[in-house]
Amino acid sequence: MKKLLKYPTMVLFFGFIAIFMISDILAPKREFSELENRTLSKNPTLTKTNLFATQEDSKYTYLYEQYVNDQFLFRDNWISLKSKSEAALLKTENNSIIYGDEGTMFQKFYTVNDKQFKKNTKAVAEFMSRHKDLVNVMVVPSASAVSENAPIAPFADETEYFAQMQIDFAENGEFIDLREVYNNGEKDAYDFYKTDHHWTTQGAYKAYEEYSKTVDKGSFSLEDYEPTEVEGFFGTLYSKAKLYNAVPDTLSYYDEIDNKLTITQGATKADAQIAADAGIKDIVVDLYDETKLEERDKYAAFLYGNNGFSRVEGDGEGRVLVIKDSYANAFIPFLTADYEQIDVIDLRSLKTGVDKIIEENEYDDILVLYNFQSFQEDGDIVKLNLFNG
Amino acid sequence: MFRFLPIALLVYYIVPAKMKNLALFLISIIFYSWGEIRYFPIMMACIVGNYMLAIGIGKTRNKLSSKRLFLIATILFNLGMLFFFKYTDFFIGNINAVFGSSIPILQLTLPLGISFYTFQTMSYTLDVYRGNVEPEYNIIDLGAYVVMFPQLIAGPIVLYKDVAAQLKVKKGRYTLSGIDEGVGIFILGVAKKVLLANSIGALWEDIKLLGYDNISTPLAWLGVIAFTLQIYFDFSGYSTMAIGLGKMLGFNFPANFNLPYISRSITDFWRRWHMTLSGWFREYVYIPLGGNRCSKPRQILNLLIVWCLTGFWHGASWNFLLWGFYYFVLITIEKIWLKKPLENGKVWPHIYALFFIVVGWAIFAVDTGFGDLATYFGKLFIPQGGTSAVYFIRNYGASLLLGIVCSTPLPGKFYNYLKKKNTLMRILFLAVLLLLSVAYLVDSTYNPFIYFRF
Repeated sequence: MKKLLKYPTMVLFFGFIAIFMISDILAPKREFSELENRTLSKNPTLTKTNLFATQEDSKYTYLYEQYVNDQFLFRDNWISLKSKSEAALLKTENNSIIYGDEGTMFQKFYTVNDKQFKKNTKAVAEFMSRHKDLVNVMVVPSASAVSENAPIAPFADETEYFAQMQIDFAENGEFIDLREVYNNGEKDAYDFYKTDHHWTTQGAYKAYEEYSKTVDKGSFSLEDYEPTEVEGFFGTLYSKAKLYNAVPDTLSYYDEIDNKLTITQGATKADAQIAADAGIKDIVVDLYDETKLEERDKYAAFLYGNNGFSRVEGDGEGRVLVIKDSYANAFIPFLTADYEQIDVIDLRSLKTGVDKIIEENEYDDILVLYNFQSFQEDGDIVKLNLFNG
Repeated sequence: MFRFLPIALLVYYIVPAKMKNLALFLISIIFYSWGEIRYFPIMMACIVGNYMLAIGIGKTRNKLSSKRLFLIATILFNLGMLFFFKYTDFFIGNINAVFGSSIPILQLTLPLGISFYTFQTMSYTLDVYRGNVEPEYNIIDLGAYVVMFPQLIAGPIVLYKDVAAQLKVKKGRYTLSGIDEGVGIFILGVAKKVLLANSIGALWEDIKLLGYDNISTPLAWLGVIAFTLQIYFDFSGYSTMAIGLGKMLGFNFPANFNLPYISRSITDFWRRWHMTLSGWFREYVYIPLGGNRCSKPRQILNLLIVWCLTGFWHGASWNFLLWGFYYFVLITIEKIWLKKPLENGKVWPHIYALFFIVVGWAIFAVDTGFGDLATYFGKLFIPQGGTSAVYFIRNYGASLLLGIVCSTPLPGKFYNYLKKKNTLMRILFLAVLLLLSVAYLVDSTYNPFIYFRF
């Protein structure tokens, strides 16, 4: 024993790893990480398939390592220790999230997926040519491309892509260029969340104003509504970067808007009939899912996330179809003042042809609304022209 | 680290002295199969094959002709395995390119560490052939040598004769002070890899993401400097970890790196970089070919052979061959006329050596074809605009500086001072490194090892 004490480094090292391993194994396992806003891996069961798997990420050993890493004792503290050490090394990014001024964070978006972008613009242009003078397209520029707070990192230059869309979408409809709206040189503009990859309700309203000019609407006036503010919002960018001294966002919404949202089980009449026959009912809910406001990912409160096809009752006149990504979720509540029926399509989870839906509903306007980063990589936009036969 | 290592060491320490090699063998086999279980049979074939070949050579010691036969079989067997897994696709690809044929490539996954362990087993059988060591009749002992887990995947390349004696020592193989020293070395290795290599390496990833076409000249230089530091800390980090673990197990592995970036010439650099690999080539290729003891033209031919092989060992791709050839040219020039001036110079030899080392890493790093390589060299040597380096200097500057400082003798001196003078400070220093490394490992999305490909 005395001999051992002559070598304290060794004793401490072995003591540390042994005690840590045992407590790590015995410690209760977590299912979900609030900090990272994701489900953590569970202990995988050994099967013949995963033992001899060829794909790296379906191997048993990989899954097991993932599990040990995810369930690592004091995981959150370790992450925060790394974050502090990175700050000491003057690092301005972590896990592909780049820090800007005023506590802002930006996705490391350096290159545009040219191939997919071309495919998608072509698909949208083709869709517009079938529905002449009905379709408006809005693509929201990346926060990193317009915000005054963005650092000098080599973010992708979106100019040429917007110019391209300007040309491609002008022929049979309208392209609403939002860059000027956000590129306003204001340090304290709050158009995009600091810690989330979405735009704020305020940012969405600016787009609504632009859209209203184009379609000659705009009954939703901020003066008529009092926003409800929810503090302490740590968004998706934070969940990746896990910066130890991040400043939370404030999310605002209008709980006076009590319109109903129907998440339909069939987008066309035929599909609806099939669903009804099978006894699956539509889900009718409020526009905001307030339970989500208690949780980490507060942006999910808007529109109940991303459903394939849903319908919002409005207080105005006419019908509009919005084909969108998650950016539109914060935008659509404003449309309730202008239209009587707002149909919402998320192509990622839609299973019917879009043209069939348009045929049945006789829309007055169609809006395609994406943010640039999802527009340039979304493989589902081509569905605009599929399953229509 | 928190599952395998403690259990492995515990098993190793508590089994009776006679079973240590068996324990080491089994632990290492599990470790090896963990990465990819399908490589297990290949490893077994390698051990059994060399075991029998060496015995065959031993038995025919006095009959030159059959001994030769066994030698040829040894070389064919080991190199054949290496070639089959590592180079087949390269050759098929080139044959297809030259003859316009379309032989399908095999797309074999490279067994982990095959370049390292085939060289180790070859060293064993070749030494038996030369009569430097006796053939090993205990297959467990031989197997323990081949798969010994610390250095299995990434070197250093340990020669059988270096550890043979130690493998036979069963009682008192390791000492407490050896283990204590090993713990320290191991932690330093982990820190090199996790704290330095990974955080600097992200810069090169950024450059690949941006595309070589889009970067500016300063950024091109910054990128290749970052790669220079990354590959050193990455590789030497693993070697240091292996040496530390070796000490914990009671083995003295040879050093693999000796501050390569303070070299005064390219010849000097290769005496400090991946020393066990260059040592291997010297001993089993260069000297048997005649080495220095022959005419100048023959010497140069020998160098050419060794350096092309060295380059090719690093990967089945033209850029690695070019990289080897590049060092052949530099070393030949030094041999013929630069030797004297370099010895007399003070500062410029360092600058000269570093410049060519860094440029060499550019050849090494851009492995996506000569078109890309030409683009990158254009960026390096023809000043031009593009994505600016400013952001990257801001983000990586401190890490790069730290890396540069750690490439000098200073940290080693500091650690040795702590070791001698101040136990408490040494513990604290190692504890901080260990805790930080764990933190970086827990929150890692980027944890590559460049030399895994070899």
